[in-house]
Formats: sequence, structure tokens, C-alpha cells
Amino acid sequence: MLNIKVIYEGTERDLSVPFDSKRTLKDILEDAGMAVSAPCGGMGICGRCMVNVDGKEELACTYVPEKDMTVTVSRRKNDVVKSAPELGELPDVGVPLGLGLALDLGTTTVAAFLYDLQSGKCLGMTGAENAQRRFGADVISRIRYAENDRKMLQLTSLIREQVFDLGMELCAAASTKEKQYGMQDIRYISIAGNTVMQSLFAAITPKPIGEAPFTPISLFGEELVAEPTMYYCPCISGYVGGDITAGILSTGIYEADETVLLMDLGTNCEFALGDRNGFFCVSAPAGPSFGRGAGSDQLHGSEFISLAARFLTEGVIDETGRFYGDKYREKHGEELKKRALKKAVFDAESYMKQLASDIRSLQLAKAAVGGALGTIFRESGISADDVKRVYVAGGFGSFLDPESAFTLGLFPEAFRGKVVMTGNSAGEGACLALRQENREILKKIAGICTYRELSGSKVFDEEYIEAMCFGQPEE
Amino acid sequence: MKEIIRQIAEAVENGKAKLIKELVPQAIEEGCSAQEILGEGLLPGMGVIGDKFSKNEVFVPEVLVSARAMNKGVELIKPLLQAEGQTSIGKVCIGTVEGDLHDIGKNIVKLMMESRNIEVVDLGADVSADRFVEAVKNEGCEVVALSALLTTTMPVMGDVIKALTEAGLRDKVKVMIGGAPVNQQFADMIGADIYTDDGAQAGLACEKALKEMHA
Ligand code: B12
Repeated sequence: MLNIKVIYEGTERDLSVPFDSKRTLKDILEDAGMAVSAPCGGMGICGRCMVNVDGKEELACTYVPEKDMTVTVSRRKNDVVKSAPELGELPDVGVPLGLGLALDLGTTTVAAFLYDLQSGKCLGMTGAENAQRRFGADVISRIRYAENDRKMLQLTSLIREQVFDLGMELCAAASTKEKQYGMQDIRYISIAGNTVMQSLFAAITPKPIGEAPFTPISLFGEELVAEPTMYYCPCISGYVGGDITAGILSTGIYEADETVLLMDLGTNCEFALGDRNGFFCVSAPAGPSFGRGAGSDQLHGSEFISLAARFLTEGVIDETGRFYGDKYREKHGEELKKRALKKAVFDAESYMKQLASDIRSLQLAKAAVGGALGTIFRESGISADDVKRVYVAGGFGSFLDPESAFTLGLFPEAFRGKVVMTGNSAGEGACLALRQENREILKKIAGICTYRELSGSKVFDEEYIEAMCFGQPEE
Repeated sequence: MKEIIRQIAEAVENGKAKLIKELVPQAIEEGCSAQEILGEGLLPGMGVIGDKFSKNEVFVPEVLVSARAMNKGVELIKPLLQAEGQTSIGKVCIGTVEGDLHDIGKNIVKLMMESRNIEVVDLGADVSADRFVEAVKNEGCEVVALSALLTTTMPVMGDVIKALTEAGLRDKVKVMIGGAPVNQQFADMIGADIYTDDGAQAGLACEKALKEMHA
């Protein structure tokens, strides 16, 4: 047997593997319950599963251990987003309030925050890839998987078990010699996620959200008195979920006197435009380009945006999205050479073909965002110039380079100087929702949001085609 | 080829609807037949765009702009075509299946079929299985083309095939399917006859199927 010592998220474990197993490090780690992120599907191209083997960097998805070794797996810093608000202290009335657990249930990642409900202080936070992920990357795939009760409950147990594990991990980490914490101390759980994630967590079938007219069974927003008490942030529609109302809460825009826009960018994008009197909400599907691991190299979607912006500036692509191979060779010849060296078989032509088609799929995503913005602006009578502040949120949005977004025309020029990157606004909202007064505000927020369905909208179709070119439109 | 016909093809390719409005009447005046204008000018112009679309050289907006120019031209020669007794090579009904409202891809497929002189009955989006069956019965469509963009609505394509079978029409028609999440494997699984992954190929495959059916 081979002995592999693994240092994973700060804890050490010893694994024994048969000598001739010929298995990759990724498989070995995953069998032992340690998730390794590999958006390229273990093809050895994205570099995201890089681990440290006896001091040397290796790709876990291709590396086959043949000797005893020590492997250090460190989580990429952008996998879990970190910032937790303070909730403020509550007066001591003699009854211990215990702990609160706030959950940000993303389709891709799950983040958990542990709070002392009395002091309002965050005791710790953690996160992991959503355990349901192998049943589909986007919400529609999860809905499809959960076609019957048995399969739906399978997804429900997966996420609940995962949350339990994360909770235990946080309790253990927060415990000291004097004070030991356990799951029984958690008295309150607040949850923010998109409508499908919340439904799956609550064991409510998400099926109706998958087909027109996308009406979810529950819009949540009520407290479920159980042990512990559970609260799900209110949803506005099948595609504008509790993560958005939580974001409206944590950014404080429900109090805005001036017009503001919240954009949550990801495979599905949500937008809320308005001020304290009311918000127009729409959702638009951007597709895989706005996910993790988009693009020919399985670059993070936001990295591909920066690359595309560079292409546009260099003339490798033009504003119609056409890709010029000769120009690419001229500007990026070195890159092609490097790739050719790395791989036994490398065909530059087919690589460039792939790049060209990735640009097309980015173009559809860009158009979906532009179409959604164009539609809410036209239908609300508010113009892009009226918007005083633009909050960009979401797993994809948070890593976006705003400058590249302007170059590509993903952000209209009118947004310049107004963009605020909010990081994990849904997670912060979930934390705030541990407090009664904030849950009252969430209820109000749900009341002032109006949803506009883009499917079947003529206005959207026009704006969508209109927004398909890259760059800022000429006046 | 006549200069004016070549100009018509070029105007469609460049999406110049206004120019088409001038060129087509001029061609008629010069004595070109409607069939010539259609078969050698308008349709080949659109064909060039279809090829470029397949090669990723142009994208959705260009296709739509060229289609508008082509349709303008077809409108102008329609009366003449009927007088000349010009007929299409076959009739197809197309639609996005029930529960699905994505129609941009379907519209492109429709245009590519039209550019091959195929008559297309467009049933729109969110089309129930029954409506496909009716279209085959009442309109005499020989090919049923189904589009789906959602993984949740893909199985509905199988339902349409079942409905056609139940109505006793399955062997009278060819079923072709497509849309981003659809692939050949899925087509085989539900028993569809044809799958292609882009619009230009869809037009070509449909033309081939119709010709085989008439042979
Ligand atoms: C535009 C768009 C919309 C628009 C549609 C506007 C319209 N009038 O069509 C709107 C905003 C309405 C919309 C709504 C929704 N959408 Co949408 N949408 C897209 C988007 C961005 C582009 C689709 C498109 O137009 N492509 C361009 C055309 C030209 O390509 P195509 O359709 O693939 O067609 C080509 C080929 O497939 C083939 N083909 C197509 N049909 C046929 C038929 C035959 C017979 C043949 C042979 C070939 C063929 O030829 C075409 C030309 O080459 C995609 C993401 C993406 N990048 O693909 C998501 C996407 C399809 N949508 C998605 C989702 C989730 C939705 C919503 C459920 C979400 C929401 N927020 O409400 C709703 C559902 C609405 C419904 N019931 O249909 C998901 C589906 C995920 C999944 N796993 O199924 C996608 C993939 C995005 C994502 N990952 O989140 N959407």
C-alpha cells in the first residue's frame, strides 16, 4: 500500500491506496470525501485542481501517485466568499439565545455563517461546492433531475447533510476549552438561495419552475417553527429568489432615495431596478459563459470576459463577434506555441475554432444581459442615465473586471463611475435575516418588488438582438 | 449570370432590404422570371449567409437582417411566382415544443429552410403535440421540425413523436429535432429521423429528406 498524507483545509488525514491502482489523485481524494474542483471535467487543462505534492505543484486530475507522499490541498480563494456583517448585541433577558446559522445556498457553492445570537457576532464561516452539483451545473438540470419525489428527496438530503456537516465544522472551530458548541446549540437557521435551491432544501418540488409559466409552489418568506426554527428569504418569482431579496436587504437599497440597480450575474442573471418606493425585477438566462469554467480553456467566466475584451481591443474579434484567425496568430502566436508544447497533440486550427465559438456563446450571454436591461429601462421609463448606483453581485459578478465589462459593452457607458462590486450580498443578507427586525424588512422588500417575465416579450426580443454586438453602441 | 441577379444575391447577403426593393422590380422589368430572381438571386444570397453562420463568421443579427431583405424580395415576386406555377419542393411545419418559449434558433432554422425553397408553416413557440398532429393532417406537412432549448422540455419532443404515432401519421412524415441541448444520441433515443446542430445544416438535411420522400 501507498501512504498518502493529505492536508485538506487545515486538517490532516492518512490514506492508504493499493500500489498499482493507477488512479488519479483527484479520484483518490474524492473517494475519501474530499472535493476537488475540476471544472474542465478532469481533462488536465484548467489547472484548478492544482495541489501540492511534496512541495511540487501537480494537477490532481492527471497525477497518479506511485510513491508515499504528502499532499496539501488548499482551497482557491475565490471558491468561497468571505465577509460577514455584525448583527449588533441584544439585551440579555436571562434566556440564552444560542447560536444562529445563516446559509447562502448557491447553485454552485454553499456558504455557512455561524453567529452568537446574543452578541450578534459572527463566530466563523465556511463554504463548499454544493453537494448537488454532480446532478447538474444549473438550476434547470437540477429540476430535471428532481423529476420524482424519490430523486428530489435525494437532492434534499444531500444538501441538508452538507449543511449539517458545515454546521458541525463551524461549531467545532468555534469551540474553546471553556465553551463547547454543538449542533443542538443552533436555534435558528436563515436561508437565502434562488427559488430552486430553497425549494430543494425545503423538500418542495421545483418542477413547475422548469416549464412555462414557471410558477413556484412556494415563494417562502415565512418562519417555520421547528427545532431549530427555519426562515427562508422571500422569493419574487421562480427565477428571482431569496438571494435577490437578501441582496436588496444587505446592500440597503430598499432605503435608496435615488434610482439604483442591483445586478446579480451568473448563469442566470437577476436585475432589480428602482428605489425605496419599488423595484422592477427581471431575470435573464446568460448561459454557460457566465459560469465557472467557461471558455475553451475552462477559464473562469470572468477571466474569459477579460480575454474577450482584449481580443476586441486588439482586433482579434470585431464588434459583430467575428473571430479573425490570422489576427490571433499575429497577436497570440506565443500562446499557441506554448500550448503546442504542453500537449502531445495540438491542433491550432481547432483550438481557434473553439475560441470563436466561445466568443459566440459569450455574445449570447452579453445579449441576454443587454436585452434584460433594455427591457426594464424601456418598460419602467427609467433611463440608464437616471441610475445613480449599480451594485454588481453574484458568484460571477464578483470576479468581473468592470473595465472589461465596459469595453465589451456588457455595462452601458452610462454606468461608468457608478459600479459597486458588492461581493456576496446574498450571504450577508442571510446573516442579517437572523434578526427579527431584518426579517420584517425582507417582508417589506418582497412587497415592493414587481416581477416582469421576459419570456414571450416582444420588447425583450428586440432589445436582445439589438444588444448582440460587442462594444458600446454608437449614438 | 445576369448582373442584376448577382446584385440581388449580394444585397440579400449584405442585408440591404431597401436595395432589394429597387432591384427586384428592376429585374422584372429587364425580363427576368420570378423563378430566376428567387432561385438564382434571393435564395443563394441567403445561402451564403447560412454558410457563413455555420462557419461562425456571422451571427444571429446578420442572419435576421439578411432574412428581412430576402423576405422583402419574396413578397415582391409572390404574385409572379404563382402565375408561373412555381412550387416549393415540399412542406414543413416547425415549432418550439410545449413549455418552451425560445424561438430564435427555430426562426433561423425556418429561414434556412425557406432559403432552400421549402414551404414552412410556422406554429410558433410553446406548441402542443396536438397542434403538430393537426398541422400534419390539415396542412399536409411532410416534415415535422421540433425545437427545444431547455433540458426540461426536451422530453416533450418524444411526446410529439408518440402523438404522431397514435394518430397513425408517423410513417407519413419525417421528424427532425434540434436546439442547443439536443444531440444525435437523444434523437436516436426518442426515434427522431434527423438531427443537426445548426440551422444551415438543418436546411440542407430537410431539403435532402424531402427530395428522398418525393423520389
Ligand atoms: C435568449 C435566451 C432566452 C430568451 C429567449 C428569447 C427568444 N425569443 O427565444 C428568454 C429570456 C425569453 C429566455 C427565457 C428562459 N431561459 Co433561456 N436562454 C437564452 C440564451 C441566452 C440564448 C438562446 C438563443 O437564442 N440562442 C441562439 C440560437 C441561434 O441558437 P439555438 O437556439 O441553439 O439554435 C440553433 C441550433 O440549436 C439549431 N436548432 C434550433 N432549433 C432547431 C430545430 C431543428 C429541427 C433543428 C434541426 C435544429 C435546430 O439551429 C439553430 C441555429 O443554428 C440561452 C443561453 C445560451 N447561450 O444558449 C438561454 C438558455 C437556453 N435559457 C435557459 C433558461 C434556464 C431559461 C429560463 C427557464 C430562465 C428564466 N430566467 O426565465 C426561461 C425559460 C423560458 C421558456 N419557457 O422557454 C437555460 C437552459 C438551461 C437548461 N439546462 O436547460 C439556458 C441554456 C441558459 C442557462 N444556462 O441558464 N431565454
